Amino acid sequence: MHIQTHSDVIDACRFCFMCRHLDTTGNVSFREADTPRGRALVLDRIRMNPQQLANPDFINAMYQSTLSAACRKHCVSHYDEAGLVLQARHDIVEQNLAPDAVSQLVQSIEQQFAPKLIGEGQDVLILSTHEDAFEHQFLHLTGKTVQMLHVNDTGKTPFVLGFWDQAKQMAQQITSLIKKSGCMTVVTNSPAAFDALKNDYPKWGIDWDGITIEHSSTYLARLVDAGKVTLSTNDQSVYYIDSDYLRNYNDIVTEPRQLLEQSGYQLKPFGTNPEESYALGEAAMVMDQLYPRLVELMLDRFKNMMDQAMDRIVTASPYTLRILRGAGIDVMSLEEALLASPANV
Amino acid sequence: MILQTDNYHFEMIHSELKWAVGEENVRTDDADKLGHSIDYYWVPELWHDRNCPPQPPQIIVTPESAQDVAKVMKIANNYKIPVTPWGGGSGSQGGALPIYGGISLDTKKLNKIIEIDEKSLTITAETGCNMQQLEWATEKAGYSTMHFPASIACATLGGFLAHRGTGVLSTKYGKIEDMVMSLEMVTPEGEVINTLPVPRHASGPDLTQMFLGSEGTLGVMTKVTLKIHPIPECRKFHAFLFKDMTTAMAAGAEIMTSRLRPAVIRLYDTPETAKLIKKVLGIDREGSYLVFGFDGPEAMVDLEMAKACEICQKQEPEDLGTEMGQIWWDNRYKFFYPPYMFHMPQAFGTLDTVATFANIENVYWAMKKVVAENFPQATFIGHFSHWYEWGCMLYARFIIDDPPNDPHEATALYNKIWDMAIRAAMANGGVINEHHGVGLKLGRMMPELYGNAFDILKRIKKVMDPNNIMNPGKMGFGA
Repeated sequence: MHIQTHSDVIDACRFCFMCRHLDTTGNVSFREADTPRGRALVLDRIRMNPQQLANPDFINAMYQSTLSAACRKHCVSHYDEAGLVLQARHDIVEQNLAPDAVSQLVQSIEQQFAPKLIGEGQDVLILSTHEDAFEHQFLHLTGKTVQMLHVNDTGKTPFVLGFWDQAKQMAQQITSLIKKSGCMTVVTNSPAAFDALKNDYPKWGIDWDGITIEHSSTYLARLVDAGKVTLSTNDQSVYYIDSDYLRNYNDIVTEPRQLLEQSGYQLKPFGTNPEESYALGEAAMVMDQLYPRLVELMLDRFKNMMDQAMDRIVTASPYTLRILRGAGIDVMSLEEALLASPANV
Repeated sequence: MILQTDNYHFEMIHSELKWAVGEENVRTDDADKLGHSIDYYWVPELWHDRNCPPQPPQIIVTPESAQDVAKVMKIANNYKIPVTPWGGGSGSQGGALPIYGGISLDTKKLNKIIEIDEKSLTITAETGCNMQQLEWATEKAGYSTMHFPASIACATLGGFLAHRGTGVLSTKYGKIEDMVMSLEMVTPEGEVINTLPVPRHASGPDLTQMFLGSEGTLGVMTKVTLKIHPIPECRKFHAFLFKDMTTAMAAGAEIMTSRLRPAVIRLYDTPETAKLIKKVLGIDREGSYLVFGFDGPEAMVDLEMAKACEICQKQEPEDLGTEMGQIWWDNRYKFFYPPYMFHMPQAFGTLDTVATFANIENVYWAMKKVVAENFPQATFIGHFSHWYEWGCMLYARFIIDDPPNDPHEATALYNKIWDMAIRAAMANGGVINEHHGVGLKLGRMMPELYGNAFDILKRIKKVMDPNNIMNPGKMGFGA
């Protein structure tokens, strides 16, 4: 079983409670099974009795995890509990035990997968996975003409749902197109896409041949530092909501904040602590589709954490943005916030 | 009544509970039941590790209010179903284990912060609040509960109340029972009651103190008002390395009996200094490590710190300075994370004992002797934490690296060590225990500890819980 590759995590987490206060699902479901300890106990049982993998309650516990990795970041030894859950999902899929809703989602992503390369730039390729205005915002901010690659998914969703073969096939196609573009820098505003290209693809054997993968926040921060992009003054107070994929998977914490501060925003700390994930299930990719009730509860918790109803939120996560906007919360993407600065309007 | 799940009567009760507290608040799924079958007590961990069948509850109920709890109590009483309260599940004594099945009453949805009274410096909150989340919210308002136990991230407020928990800064700010102003409680028969609003009064015996430490055997605490404190201007630490534990103990006791008010003192015996302090803090020296800290206005802190250092210097220790004290504070929870914490396959237990300064060293040596003479396979280490004007707590531990593989044999060995070590402690004036509670682990010791006074506790239990539905099998009350 693939979970055996993370046996050290099972051994470490099965009797450890030290990060339970940070499990995004556990904090709204209040189930013991929705904590790293609870999941490790389940997987330890399965490790000892592999037939128990078929228990639908155990399968559900694996899919309910948001994979936010806030617990992994908090742990003094950084045991990779999110990685363990991914292995468990891989086992579930390999044994044809995936819930129907999960399989159907992956099937639909595969059917809609038609990556499209457009534009003429030589240096930078923009990868966009969401129907947003990122390319235009990017152009507006940097003045650069770029090529664009539109995809519905980078393979990240099938991957986190346990469908690794499908994910790798999608990765191969995307990589070919990127290489075909001739661009040596790929920039994306999607933290999930960034994490897929930066961290997952190389693990799947993809060699980038010197191509740099960047998240838009670090890319823009570099241009600002080099004096190639000027941001102007804006005196609004905002709350920046970290993306799980940026903070907990890639340690990108400073750059988005730095950009906002350079734009004149006054950053206020959201919620009561800097460790909890407020990304509403971003790292699970399709939490809102598979577990809408849990996302509703996460939104309630989010609202309770807001200082006042009129708080202005900024996030670098298109997923989190969509969920918050859908709930009527005043929220901007990082690029929207930067463009809202007077000099760029 | 032991609930069987494979009959329609179970479904009748299941439906009644769902009707009472809502479908979302009644669960029977295997994953969650597994989570409720193991707490931080070594024996259920061992049972799990050896692939023995779990002993889960049949139903998990997550009430959202005291009224919900009351409804559950009434149903449980009607059918005489065991009810075992569960908070964070991080207790080390087996207190939250549903050993007779029935209902695991998970309090985590009772998580509202109701009020911060900035005039009186109190906070009123429901008892299912995760302690770290509560502390963060208190800090956001500009205050602190000053309750910083190692289990802060995992335990609920109710868990600390249920077994009289304590935090690192207990020497100055007290144990949880010193922090409580008043309680809301749901009795086993489903009545919601409140204790008096202030802890100092002359209106008869204090019900608040009677319920604190009752470990869910006398009902469910649902709401509490606690004292809170301003964030201190500064907090400073200092550490020394003494040639042995006795000289370090003399220094620590003198700091306390001179009536200085450190927030914390912690003293590690020489084996623990060599083992844990080296592993976690990287201090590789022989001797006995003592650290203390003061907080408050800086001028007062500096003055008290100087006096405390003066007391220590009399024993001619190595002065490790403020940095080695600060490192300890910064890493105070690290000891409890894997791989620093003891873990399977090791067998380990914390022989938590509290005694006066006159007795505490004798307790230490008596326990150490009994473990060394009878269990040569066990290592004995200890530190002294939670210091008071009259004595302190011994956080002794035994560790067996390679216990028997057979779970029955391993449990028997484990219990024998506990029996002998705790009896040695009691014979020397030690009390079990200071902050972990009694639970399943030490219930059998309660009659010995209390003598004929235990009968009074039993009669209180009988009056409060005539059907003995509340957490049966714990605290020596039987089933």
